[in-house]
Amino acid sequence: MYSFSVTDFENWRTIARTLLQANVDPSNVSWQPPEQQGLFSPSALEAIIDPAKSVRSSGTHKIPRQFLQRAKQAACFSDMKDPARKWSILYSLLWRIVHYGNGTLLLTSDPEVRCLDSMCKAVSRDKHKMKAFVRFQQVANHNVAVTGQECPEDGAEYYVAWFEPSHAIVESVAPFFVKRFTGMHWSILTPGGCAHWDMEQLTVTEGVPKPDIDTDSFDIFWKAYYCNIFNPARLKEQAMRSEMPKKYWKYLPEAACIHDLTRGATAVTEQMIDAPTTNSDRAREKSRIVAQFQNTLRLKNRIDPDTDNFSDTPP
Amino acid sequence: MDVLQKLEILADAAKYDASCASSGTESRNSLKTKSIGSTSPGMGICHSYTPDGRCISLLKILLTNFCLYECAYCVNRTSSNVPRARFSIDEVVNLTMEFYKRNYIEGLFLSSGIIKSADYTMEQVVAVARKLRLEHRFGGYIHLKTIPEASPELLAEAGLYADRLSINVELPSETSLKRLAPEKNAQSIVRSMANLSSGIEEYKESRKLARKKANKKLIAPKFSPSGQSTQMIVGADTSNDAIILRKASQLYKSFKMKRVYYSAFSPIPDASSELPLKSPPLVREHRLYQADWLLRFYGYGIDELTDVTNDSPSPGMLSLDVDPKLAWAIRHRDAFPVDLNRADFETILRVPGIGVINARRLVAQRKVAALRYQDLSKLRLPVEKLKYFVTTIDHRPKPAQLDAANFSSLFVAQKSQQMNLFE
Repeated sequence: MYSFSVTDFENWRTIARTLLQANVDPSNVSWQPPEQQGLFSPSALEAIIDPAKSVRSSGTHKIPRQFLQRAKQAACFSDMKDPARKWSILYSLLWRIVHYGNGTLLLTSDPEVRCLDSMCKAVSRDKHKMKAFVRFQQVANHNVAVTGQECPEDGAEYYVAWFEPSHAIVESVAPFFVKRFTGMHWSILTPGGCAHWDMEQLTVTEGVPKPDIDTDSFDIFWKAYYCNIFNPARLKEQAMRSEMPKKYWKYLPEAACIHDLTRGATAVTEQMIDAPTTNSDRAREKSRIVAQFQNTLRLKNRIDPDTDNFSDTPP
Repeated sequence: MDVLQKLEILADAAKYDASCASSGTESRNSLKTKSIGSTSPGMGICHSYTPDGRCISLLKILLTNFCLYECAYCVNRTSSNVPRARFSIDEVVNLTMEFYKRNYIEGLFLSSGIIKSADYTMEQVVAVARKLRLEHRFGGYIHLKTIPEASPELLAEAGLYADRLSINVELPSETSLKRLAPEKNAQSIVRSMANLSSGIEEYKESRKLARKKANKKLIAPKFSPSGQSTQMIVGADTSNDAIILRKASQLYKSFKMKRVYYSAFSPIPDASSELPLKSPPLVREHRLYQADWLLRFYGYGIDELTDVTNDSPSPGMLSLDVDPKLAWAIRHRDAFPVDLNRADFETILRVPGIGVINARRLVAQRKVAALRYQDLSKLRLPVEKLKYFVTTIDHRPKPAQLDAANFSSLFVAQKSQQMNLFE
């Protein structure tokens, strides 16, 4: 029995490659989370290779790129109960691909394939939600205590966001933010790692606890927009909650408005329906300019009754 | 009036436009321009959701809600007593930039009431986009509402900056448009859609040619890379669903619309005496979206989906109780059950509860092993609905069930569930 503690995808890949070359069956490997000391350190890997046992003399296997991409995605998955389970599933699938062919991944009802699928889906959803729900605040002074970053020159704008992704995705999502906010100096802080962009260089640092960031007064504009773009006559609270689960609300300044908007919606709608209507000629009667303008347009739009039909096809 | 008050008025004025899409444009980022903004050809990002279940992807506002037109359904019509405001060009540009920098939005959707003249108004709208693109090198998404009567030069410039241009067809028939929106002109709307369509096509073709000849110089000036869309109001006039869907099909076919949006006529503050208010027909709107999908991707005909039987209580309408695909199946029970192990792909696609992806999966899987009833639940298909319509090697619905007079009532339980979901 071999035991390995794995830190990240590249680390797993190195170990897995060696194990495959040595033809080690997945049932003979125990995978451990990084904090536990493995029986074999990666440096001892070379020792387990027995050239005589090697499946192929070249020692390399053709692994479908699609599997490697999905494995890399799944490697971001954090499983609170069993943090190293992903590594053992990945190795087992890798082993099966090498021994039974690429078709292994097509077995959609196979438990390991299903597990890989659901890990990838969870990570991909988490990434998508992070891109959507990270909210930057402009901080007045470059707060070294908050981000551990160096000060830019005085007066430069600096944006900071706090977010808690469910999976270890900061490193893989950071390039998205770089491409989008290239001309901004920013930091995204999370408990599992932080990403910093100084308009030249992306730096990834250790995670931090939730910092105190002063609220950016600009969120009053955003809240005003949020409240006024909402149509109370179409209240569908459940549809909102399924797309924007409550666990994200703490990052969203606009979430503070949800309760009042929802509670007042029915009354506002009834009020609109019951209110007296306005005569459509009101403005025409009051303003000569409006009446003139509209008369000209209406004259221009008058259509010969013979051609007035439903044929709105292009001329 | 300060910017905050203007924002309140001009966001409120823009909420009746259903579109907030930021998907399917070209791939852009800010690495070279050292500015801000990126877009992708794939899925758009919804940065928030309002309690009406709608996504907020774009800052959707009007430049002004002053308007000379008197469209009976519109909150901004000239006779309405709602408060009025007008943004300056810089105010819109700043709001867009500041919202974007905080990752609130994917970009801007700008529309406007008609002031002075079509060209004057369009010029103001274009000026906002021009400033964002040229001065701020803004790389995010821009959707501009286009005024049909504006000059071709302005449309060309709008196409240069915008990811998407759109003109609202508003109502499904010319007669309704004349009655409810007397200043609008159906022919001029159609003409402008045709102009946009040819501009979009020309740009696309030039890109194809440039790729083929490996010569970037052949690419024409950019023109609305994410195509055009339009919106139809549902429930403001008496047009039935068949008329609405026929109009939509025509628009998809003639102008290669990316989307036709259906917007349930919704209560507005200070309604016109011409058009009394009711609760918005949200279920009907939802059924139209479903039917729209079936027409475009499932090969259904309009007459197949709407109830064309003469003795029907609502001829030309989609059923509100069940979705249009299930309604079709209930009306065509003679075509069922479908043998999932033998039927061709198109026939399987017509089974209620089986979508394109699962139809493909079933056809692929049955080549490996004959399909069994439990395979359906493994694919997480809605077996409770499916079981009446399909046969597998170990399952066959009782013929009496399918023929029973009260067959459609079997789905009533599902109906009330759906009503909850979509109401």
